[in-house]
Amino acid sequence: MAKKLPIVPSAKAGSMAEAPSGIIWREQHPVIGDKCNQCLECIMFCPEGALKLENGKVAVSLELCNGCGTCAFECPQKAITMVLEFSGDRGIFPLKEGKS
Amino acid sequence: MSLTLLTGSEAAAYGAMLARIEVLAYYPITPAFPAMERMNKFIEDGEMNTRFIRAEGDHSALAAALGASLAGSRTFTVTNSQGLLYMTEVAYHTAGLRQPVVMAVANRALSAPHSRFPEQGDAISQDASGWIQLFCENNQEVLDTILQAFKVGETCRLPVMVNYEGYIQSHTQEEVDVPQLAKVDAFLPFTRVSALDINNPQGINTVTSPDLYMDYKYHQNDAMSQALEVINNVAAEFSRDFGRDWSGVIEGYRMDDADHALVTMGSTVSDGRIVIDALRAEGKKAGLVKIRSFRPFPAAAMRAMLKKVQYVTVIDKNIVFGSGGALGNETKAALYGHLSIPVKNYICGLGGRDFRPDELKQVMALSEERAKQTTEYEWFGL
Ligand code: SF4
Ligand code: SF4
Repeated sequence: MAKKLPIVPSAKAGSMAEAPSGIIWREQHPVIGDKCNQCLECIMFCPEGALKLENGKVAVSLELCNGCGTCAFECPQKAITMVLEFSGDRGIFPLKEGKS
Repeated sequence: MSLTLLTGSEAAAYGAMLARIEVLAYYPITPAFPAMERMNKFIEDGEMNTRFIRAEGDHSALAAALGASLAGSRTFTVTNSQGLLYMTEVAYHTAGLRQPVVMAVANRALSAPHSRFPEQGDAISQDASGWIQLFCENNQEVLDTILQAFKVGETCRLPVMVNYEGYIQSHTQEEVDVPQLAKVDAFLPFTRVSALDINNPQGINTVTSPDLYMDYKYHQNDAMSQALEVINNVAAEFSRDFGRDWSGVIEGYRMDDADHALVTMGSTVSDGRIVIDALRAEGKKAGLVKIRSFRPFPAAAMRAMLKKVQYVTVIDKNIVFGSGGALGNETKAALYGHLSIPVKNYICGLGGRDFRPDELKQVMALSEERAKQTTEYEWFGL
């Protein structure tokens, strides 16, 4: 099944801007959700040292994260969502009449 | 309705005017140039409310057209041969970014050696570019197809090339019925779709990872496949509104009981009709298959049309070096594994070499004679 994508290849200016260009080629980045209980498993598994505890919460450094998704896979609470580095409905139109 | 004498390029200009294009980006080239001249006259006379961008080259012209289209404008350009080659890089951008730019192409042979004369090689060079490619047999069809092209392109979110041959069509006057603007407005309403939005800024054409690129291409190709139906529907709608039926992606002329099918596209189609009529008068069961849409290619419809014939002759006004004629190859690919009819492919009329109806008749006779021979393709008229 082909992924659902915007019709016009486009992306929201966002997290990739924080990555030092040319060093990190990232397809997705983690977003830590409310279910996190600060068990720190993800920090142990992250191969880039991109996660740390900051003011009692898990924070992601988008400068370091390579988007591998290991953190989301390992999180016992399923608290991490991997968000693709493209976004939005820019240019999504159905082939038939009318707007989606 | 008003009948007037128009060249193919003028017919393209009338089409653009009636479609109320908002942006025209252009760099002059022969033989497409008279289209720009005529559109500039329309702009000068206040008949067209269009922003004309005088680009410094064809690459920039299409880039400007692409930008205007991304901003939501109904956009048009005209070119041919070297200009089209120079546009190629942006042509792929335009298709990949799914912008319904419409381009008229006055088909001309490609350099080297330098030529200014008709041939379809320039359009064929873009066969993998992701543009819908429609071919017109006369100047009325040029005007009508420009109108249909906007509707097809805007429905499928794909760019459309409307091809007519240089000189044979671009500089030959024919009687053309110019439809009323009000009727065109009803047929071709415009919904502004802007990919650029200052309230929701996004990067367009961002670097795309292996995770997504292939999926984008899948969707693009899917839209191309769906365009077959859209082209047919739009042609049917046009025929209802204007009384002229250009029959969508493919047309069979006297094909019902035909045992020899002549397959071709562009101006050779109108010669083909004369030849088929002559052969029929002689009692021969000959028919014509007009390919109106080369991209997307109507393979299934073609198979259905060629189901009962014994001979297939494909005329190509192009040469894909080391391979044959582009239409010949498409025909063979469409039939392969379904029908085992010998397909004879002839390369004719390159670089403006005259290819007359009597020669077309000769080719068909030759094709029947040699049907059993396994030549991949042959040159005629050397
Ligand atoms: S593994 Fe999951 S629950 Fe544990 S700290 Fe990381 S995000 Fe929070
Ligand atoms: S996606 Fe990979 S690199 Fe990024 S934070 Fe999670 S584990 Fe670390």
